[in-house]
Amino acid sequence: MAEIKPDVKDIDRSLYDFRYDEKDFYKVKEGLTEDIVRQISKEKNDPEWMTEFRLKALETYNEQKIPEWGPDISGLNMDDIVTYVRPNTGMKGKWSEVPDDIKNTFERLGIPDAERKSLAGVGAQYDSELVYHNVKEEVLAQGVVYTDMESALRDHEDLVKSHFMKLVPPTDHKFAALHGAVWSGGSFVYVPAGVKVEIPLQSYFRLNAPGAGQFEHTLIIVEEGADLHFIEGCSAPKYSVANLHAGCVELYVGKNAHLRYSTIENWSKNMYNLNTKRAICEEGATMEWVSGSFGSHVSYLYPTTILKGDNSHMEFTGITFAGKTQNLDTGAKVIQIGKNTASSISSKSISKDGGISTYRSSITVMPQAKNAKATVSCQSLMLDDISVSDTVPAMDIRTDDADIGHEAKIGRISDDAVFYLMSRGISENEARAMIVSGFANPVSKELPLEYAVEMNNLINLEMTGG
Amino acid sequence: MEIKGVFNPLPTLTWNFLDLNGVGIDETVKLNNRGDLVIQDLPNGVTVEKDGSLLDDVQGGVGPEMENLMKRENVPTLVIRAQKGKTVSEPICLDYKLGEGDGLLRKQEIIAEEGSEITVIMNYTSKRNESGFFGIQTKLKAEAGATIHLVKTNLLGDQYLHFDDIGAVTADDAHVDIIQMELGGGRNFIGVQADLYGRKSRFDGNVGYLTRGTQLLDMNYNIRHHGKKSESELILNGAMMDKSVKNFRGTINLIRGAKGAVGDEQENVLLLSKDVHNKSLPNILCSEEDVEGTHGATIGRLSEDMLFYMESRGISEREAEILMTKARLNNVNRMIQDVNTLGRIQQFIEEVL
Amino acid sequence: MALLDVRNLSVGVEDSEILHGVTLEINKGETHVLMGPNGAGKSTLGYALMGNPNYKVTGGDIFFNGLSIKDESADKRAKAGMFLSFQNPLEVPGISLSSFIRNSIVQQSGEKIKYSEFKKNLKEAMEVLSFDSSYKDRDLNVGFSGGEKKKAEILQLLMLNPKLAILDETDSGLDVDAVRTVSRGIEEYQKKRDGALLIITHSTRILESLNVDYTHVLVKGKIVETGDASLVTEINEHGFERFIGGQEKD
Repeated sequence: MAEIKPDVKDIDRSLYDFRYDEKDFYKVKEGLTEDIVRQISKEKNDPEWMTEFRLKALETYNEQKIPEWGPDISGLNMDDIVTYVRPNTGMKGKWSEVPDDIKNTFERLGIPDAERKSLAGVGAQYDSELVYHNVKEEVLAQGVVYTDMESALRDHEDLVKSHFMKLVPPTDHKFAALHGAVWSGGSFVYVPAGVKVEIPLQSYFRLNAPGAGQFEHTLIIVEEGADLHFIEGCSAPKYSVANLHAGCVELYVGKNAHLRYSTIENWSKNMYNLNTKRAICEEGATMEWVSGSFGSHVSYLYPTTILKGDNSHMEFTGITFAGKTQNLDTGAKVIQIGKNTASSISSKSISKDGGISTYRSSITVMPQAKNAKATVSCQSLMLDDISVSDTVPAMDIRTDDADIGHEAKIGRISDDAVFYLMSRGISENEARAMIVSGFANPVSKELPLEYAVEMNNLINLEMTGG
Repeated sequence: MEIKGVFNPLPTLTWNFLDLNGVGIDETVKLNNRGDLVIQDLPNGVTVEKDGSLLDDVQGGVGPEMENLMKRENVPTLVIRAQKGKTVSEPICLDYKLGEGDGLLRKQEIIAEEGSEITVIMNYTSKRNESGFFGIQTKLKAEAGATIHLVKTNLLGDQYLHFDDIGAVTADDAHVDIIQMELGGGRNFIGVQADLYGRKSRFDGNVGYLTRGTQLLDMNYNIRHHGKKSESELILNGAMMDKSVKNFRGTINLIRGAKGAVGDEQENVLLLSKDVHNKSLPNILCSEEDVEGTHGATIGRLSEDMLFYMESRGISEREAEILMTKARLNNVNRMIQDVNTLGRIQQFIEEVL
Repeated sequence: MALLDVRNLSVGVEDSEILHGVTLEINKGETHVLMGPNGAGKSTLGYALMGNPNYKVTGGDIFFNGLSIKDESADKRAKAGMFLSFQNPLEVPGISLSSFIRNSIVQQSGEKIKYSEFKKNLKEAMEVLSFDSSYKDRDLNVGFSGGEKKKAEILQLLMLNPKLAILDETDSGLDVDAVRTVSRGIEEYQKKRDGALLIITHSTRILESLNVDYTHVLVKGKIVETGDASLVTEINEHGFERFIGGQEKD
């Protein structure tokens, strides 16, 4: 078959690429200094320990080096990043009270609609602060807490203090330290023992201001025997200046509890997405990650699971689609400590139009682990010969009582498959899009329907140029 | 002599916490040029020259620091050459016999001229408990249509510090085939880089290893596909015992332009003691669409099903482990045609198991 | 004293019990056939008798030569004289069929055997099975067809010469010729070596040339009927309906 490449236009991002002015908003100056950190802390009415925490994290940030591995982030200049932008509104519990421009933003993204349909609760963050939070009555009645981090810091200070950045300490890496210094917004979820939240909770993050950073903190505690599905979605309009997202997600999964954490990340392609996500599982706990990475200029994203308790396990299902100007370094990490722990990682990545995707992972089985099982399967698809797809999977096994299987494959769409579909009257572009959708299907079928549809739309946009 | 710097560098960096980006070494060893090289009679069609240095551009897997070391110490080079069009069926055997306290640094270049075929076997031996230093660098160049078979067996004493740096380049339709048995030595740094420049050129690597006691085996393989339709296959079969440590870095790089290239690497590790530490990092780097890259790894103990099958035939767990270890190593051994070499390997395995 | 004495044996896999109190006696030189519909627990009995750690004895006991072997590992049972032919024998790259057999013999007897004697015995046994002699040098079961794997199992039976052989679905998936060859091997073991057999099967083809002393029917984890060779013929003609029906009336 002739080497005809589909005619790919730059994708239509009008769905995400709109913005409203932030002229009434309160912002701190660009850059990162002790004064700015103090100013943020004051604005947010932090308790004293949190102010101290921020300043200590800033010190750590200044001491830490930029990683020498992974994608280049020299285009990110912290002196140009505005670390705190407060929208001109307080947090609202009713949609009608949210200011029109912000409301319009989320409505265009379909958030309130999704809430009505299929969610137990919704939070929406606009730049640095949550602007809307609402939870269904019946979920509240179960004793579930779902609120913004600032309210949590006020109303559940002990819980926050004993968990905040304990899983991801600021010393972990430079951007964890940055997060510790300037974090703002994010969600706090507490699910009491035995409570099963039947339908998902969702937070949606929108970064509107140019040159700004978003540093939301998500803290979820799922107590013994409880069950939760949490969804996060992210988007931003595109600016010519760099934006930074350095969020932090800490998940505590109690004994025999179950947590599923789903993400569709579609930041604009000027975003540096340096996000840290980590979960710890107690005995018999299950952690499931579903992760779709489509946006950002640069991503460093490796959700980490610590299987501390006996019989705990984790599953990771992820897809990354790197297009033009994108360098997406994604994967997963797992540390297996307890007895009879099991982990399963399934990753897909697609590279196109000069995009670079890297699958990076590590599996560590500690000496005290007994009967640990781990399987990794990663598949990468190259859609042209100007893109890059790398696979860097490490296994660190410190006991013999382990059973580790790993397989990876890099290749391209088979000409035979394209020809087969074309012989049934499907155009080449469509045929390729169908094959890529099929490739992504194991991930999209793990997502709630609305997100699966969104993901398929994104793939179709990327593949056919809209 | 001072050995200083980062050896066995990973071609693409990853998390520092894994401690796999390369090995930092800073120590002094004594070079005394002791240690015997015994070369059997040369078969027809092969020449051996001394003091050549023709393949300085060929890069080895142990990295630039090894190259610097060889230059600094002005190590003489033995050039083994298969003449154009000659198929040399007899292997050329280089036996390095080392003893207690020996310190030796040596270098060979193996050049297979157009259309030739050559087999070189290099054995490194010393007594079981001996200590010393043995660094070796072997550069290979397979010209158009030529084939080089290289066999290396490491049966050094348990206290030996050992570097084995291999670099290979291929022209069109050329084939480099390397078999390595890593059984001895105390701390071993093994690096192989193959640059497959030629169209339809091919690299085969078959590695067998057994680590025991407090041995360290640190390996760095970097297979770079430049040529169209170039192929590579790297297979490691190993078993780990006692408190041994093994690091395997294997990188297949499918470079833009290498259309139709196929690269595959597989590692199977049998873990036989709770105190072993195994690290495996099988990378694929890919900047070309029309390629296939695969890697797989299985790491673990003897499976329950296999153990039960063995036990049902009256073989105890311990014996089953020994049997399976031998089986793994046999998968590599049986590719070695030379009876003497094979005998020595088998004797060594019997002794240590 | 019976060679194998299974008393009220219950066996579970993971959390579910599959055999519920099976009692069975096999004497030296006897041939027993265990039949039953799919899922009755036939293979479970085979695995439990041989000591597969995934099959847990939850009740009852197993005596071999008068000694309880319930808590012994499989290699001890093999050394005591038991043999199980696997439905799906495992592949072992790197170890040839002949060296595996030789290794097993040495392990079981605890003494070395003369290579010439071993070679002679192996050759004879392979001839009985019409097994191409080149297979002895091939890696154990690697790349063997279904029929060749079964032949390799029966070859091991002949070479190891156990007191009791349990054959688990040795005839399944084999064509007519292969069944004939394999049963020739079993016949050799039965007649010339006076070996005791427990043949697990759901078909009757393999039994045609063998003398069967007892037939047991296993349904839903229990032996529901024991009879002589004629029971095989009956099942061959009428299937298991009668026995399954009988169960449901309980």
